[in-house]
Amino acid sequence: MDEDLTEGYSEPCGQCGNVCWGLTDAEQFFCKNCHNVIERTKDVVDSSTYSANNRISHFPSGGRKWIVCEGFQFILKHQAEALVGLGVCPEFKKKVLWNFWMRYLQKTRQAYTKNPRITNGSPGDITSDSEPESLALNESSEASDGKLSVCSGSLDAAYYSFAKESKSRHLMTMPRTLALCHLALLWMREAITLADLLRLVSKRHVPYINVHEHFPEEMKIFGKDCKFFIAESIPSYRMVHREASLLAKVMELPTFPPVSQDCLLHPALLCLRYTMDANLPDELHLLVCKVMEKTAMGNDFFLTFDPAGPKQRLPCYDLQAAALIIVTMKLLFKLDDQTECKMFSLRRWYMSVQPALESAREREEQAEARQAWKSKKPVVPNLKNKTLVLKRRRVVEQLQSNFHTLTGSTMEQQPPAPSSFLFLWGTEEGADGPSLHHKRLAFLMEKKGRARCLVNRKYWHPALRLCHPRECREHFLELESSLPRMYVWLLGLFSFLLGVSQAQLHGEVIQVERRLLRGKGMR
Amino acid sequence: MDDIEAELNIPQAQAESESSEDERIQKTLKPPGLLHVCRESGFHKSVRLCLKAMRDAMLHHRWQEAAQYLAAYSQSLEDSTTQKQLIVSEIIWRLGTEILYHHPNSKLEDFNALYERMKNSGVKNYAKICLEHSFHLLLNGHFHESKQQLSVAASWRYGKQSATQSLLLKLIHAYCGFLDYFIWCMKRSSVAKVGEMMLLSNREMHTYFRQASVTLQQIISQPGVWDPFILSYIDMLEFYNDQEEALNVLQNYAYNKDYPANPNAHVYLYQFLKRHNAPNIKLIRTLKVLCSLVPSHELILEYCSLLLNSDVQEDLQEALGVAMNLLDYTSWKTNVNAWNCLMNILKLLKIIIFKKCILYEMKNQIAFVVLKLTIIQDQASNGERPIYSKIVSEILFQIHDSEKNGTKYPELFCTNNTKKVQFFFSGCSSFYTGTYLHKRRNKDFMTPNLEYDRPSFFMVTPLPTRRLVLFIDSRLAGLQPQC
Repeated sequence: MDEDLTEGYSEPCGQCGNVCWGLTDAEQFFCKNCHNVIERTKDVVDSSTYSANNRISHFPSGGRKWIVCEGFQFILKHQAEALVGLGVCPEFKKKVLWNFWMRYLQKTRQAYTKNPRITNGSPGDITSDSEPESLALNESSEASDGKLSVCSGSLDAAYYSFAKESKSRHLMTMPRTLALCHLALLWMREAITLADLLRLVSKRHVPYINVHEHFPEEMKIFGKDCKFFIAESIPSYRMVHREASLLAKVMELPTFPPVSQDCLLHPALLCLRYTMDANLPDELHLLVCKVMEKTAMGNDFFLTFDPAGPKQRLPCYDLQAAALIIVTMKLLFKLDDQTECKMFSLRRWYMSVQPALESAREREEQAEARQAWKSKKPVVPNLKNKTLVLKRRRVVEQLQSNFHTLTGSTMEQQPPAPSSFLFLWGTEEGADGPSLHHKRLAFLMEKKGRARCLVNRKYWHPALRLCHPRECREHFLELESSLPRMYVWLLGLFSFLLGVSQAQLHGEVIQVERRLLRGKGMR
Repeated sequence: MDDIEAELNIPQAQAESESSEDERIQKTLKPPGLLHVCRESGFHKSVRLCLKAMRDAMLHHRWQEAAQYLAAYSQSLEDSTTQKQLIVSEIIWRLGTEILYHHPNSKLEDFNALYERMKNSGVKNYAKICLEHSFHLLLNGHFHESKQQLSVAASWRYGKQSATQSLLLKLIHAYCGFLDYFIWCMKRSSVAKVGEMMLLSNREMHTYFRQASVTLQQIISQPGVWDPFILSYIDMLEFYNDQEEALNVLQNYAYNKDYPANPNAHVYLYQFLKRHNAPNIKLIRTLKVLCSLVPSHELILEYCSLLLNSDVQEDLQEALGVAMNLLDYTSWKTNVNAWNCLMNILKLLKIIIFKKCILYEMKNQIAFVVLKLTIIQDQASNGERPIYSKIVSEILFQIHDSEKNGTKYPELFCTNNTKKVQFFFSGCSSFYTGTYLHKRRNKDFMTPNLEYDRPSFFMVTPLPTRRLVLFIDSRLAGLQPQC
């Protein structure tokens, strides 16, 4: 019996009755006679004997030294690979994202520069490597003392965590990786909008949660690294958007390639996609294009992002497209809960979409409830808790396997294939409802003299003036109870499609209305 | 108000919760505003939704779905915040056992596995879970495994023992003894099949008896309510013919002031004395205490019959009081045996000389009781009515009969048709009337103040009336049970 390890545990084994205990690698007690493993582990015995002096000797051997940037580089690499796998052009990974990353490192003075400020600020000359897979580390930068490296797998985690430093230096964080990807996708004018990107992340098609599982074996994460690499939330649309604007400014990017009519990001095409998803008639698209012309939201100048220019505003293509659709519907149907009768097709449309929307929301909630957040490879925050963390992980896995065998379901639920559309309309199996794409909207226009005008002559809108010239916060929450229910429901539908909040979408709608009703270009 | 800062600080705040002591002190110096602004992380939101969905599924008895949600919920055991940790392991334990209990495919191994896992995650619930595990095994007939669990639990020591833990450990110790008794019972029944001779020479059985008696004696000597343990100990002592010890134990349990008042103690003592043919006096004494504790106990009828059989005068009076008390309780109101008992008492009372005085005092009570009885009679089923009407008429007959000897008081007129009864109560200063009618059969029957075919009844609150007057139809002779 391993007396020193098992500390004189002398209960007879449940299966064979012998008292002969050993310790497995995972620090569980096992009977040497019949190899029966019991639940008792060393932590019950050992925690009192742990002392600070033992820390150094527990340093995991076999790992190489790495810094936090390298970690982020790996993460970006995996995210790029996932996106290329979903259909993005391969140049995205090799050229665009990599160049952005290099430029970022340069501008924040972490690498590719004469005096990189890492660890204790010791000067080191880091030459750029033609091999994009790894960053070569200069010997002199190992000046960090051994005490820091024991608390984390990477070398400079302690330095990285000084909050003051990170804010002024714009160090990389997990949400910023997504922002960088978004900028790169925008540069390439790919069809994946920010809302799509976030949805892909939440369905685990793009690695973000538990991405440390993809790290190579030599790069061990523990201790303070957790703060940087372990994310427990998917960042919101607004947050990533702000980070992207910030990054574009920090990186001093030039004007982006123009977004023109033939691009997939153009509002015309995005509107088409959203009207199809919302089961609206295809004819609506023509009207939306007309509104777009009126507000001059379709021209290149408006849509192209220019970080250095006077506006410095990163456009939200998806939100704008949805806002245009909503404004068009307001023009056509008035949407004030009072106009009736002739708009019967609106009611039919509502009756077909509402149940589908409700069931989609429920499914979404159920999927979120069953979402797995914790990784199979648990990361140890500090060495004292190592056995505890390992034990918990083991207990969780055993519980899960027990209950899965009980219910007969499999452990690994494959996520459904990613799709640009949330709903399926038509008569196929699994459709959410009958398709209304073919409906005519001609009755909504009438001839008056030579021109055709809308039947609906009135239009309502909330106050369009900005409270403050610079920062007008959303007033949706105050207004919400006074807005017509049909309008609020419509906001709910499109915000569910895009994965943003209703308040945000409402803000975009107000902006479109401003342009429409007060003339383009005016505030 | 800037969202970015709050969201960026979320991972920092969470990861720092398991930092060392000195860092924790540093953390508390941070401005609290930032920490409160932290919104719920995606992980916590998922866990919260999962718990809500699991609860819904359980309340609607969708056990399959609930099991799936529990599998997803178990990831919250890895939550880094310690407060949630403790709650989570308890939730998983309790909900998990509930789901397993109702799920059609669950087996004993699943229960065992769940209990083992949850015992070792967190020390707070160890003793409780051990107890529950052993109860579960006990209920499924696995006595030896149950005993094993308890002995492992009894020898467990970790950290400081809180007050509740010491209570639980006492309970574990008690159930250890109890399980020894169970196993002894098993052995006894298996050996009894073999033959009488074997009973005395079976060593294993005796070891269990010794173990059990040592443990149980220790437990019973502490003040508390130990009903099942007492019974098992007495059973064993009786088997080995140690009556004296058994009697001592029971008397101590019943009469010792340190122990909380427990009617069962007296019941057990009474049953023991009865089994061993104790004299009536002793039995009466025992039941007297019980009567004072629980006047509506089911043994009170036996008490009454004991009192009736004794020759002492006071006993009979007491019997009447006890019986009347008993009939006040709702659970006894419809019990025919109780009413019969009362009838017997009254019959006996009739013979006794002091009956007038007793009757005078008891009259108001009797009348009220009779009133209630007729109400019950009316509500009773057709099969029971004859019994009730017989009892009513008998009682009234007794009273009337006794009244014929001179007292002025109640004038009772019984009717053969007990469906129609009219009561007339007079109080001290005023007159209360109650009429209770059914459709009557004989139309030529006339009594004053009758209202025909009006099923109304007003009965005023039972004030302690001194005089009662009961008017009933004068067909006293035709007193027969009739519907």
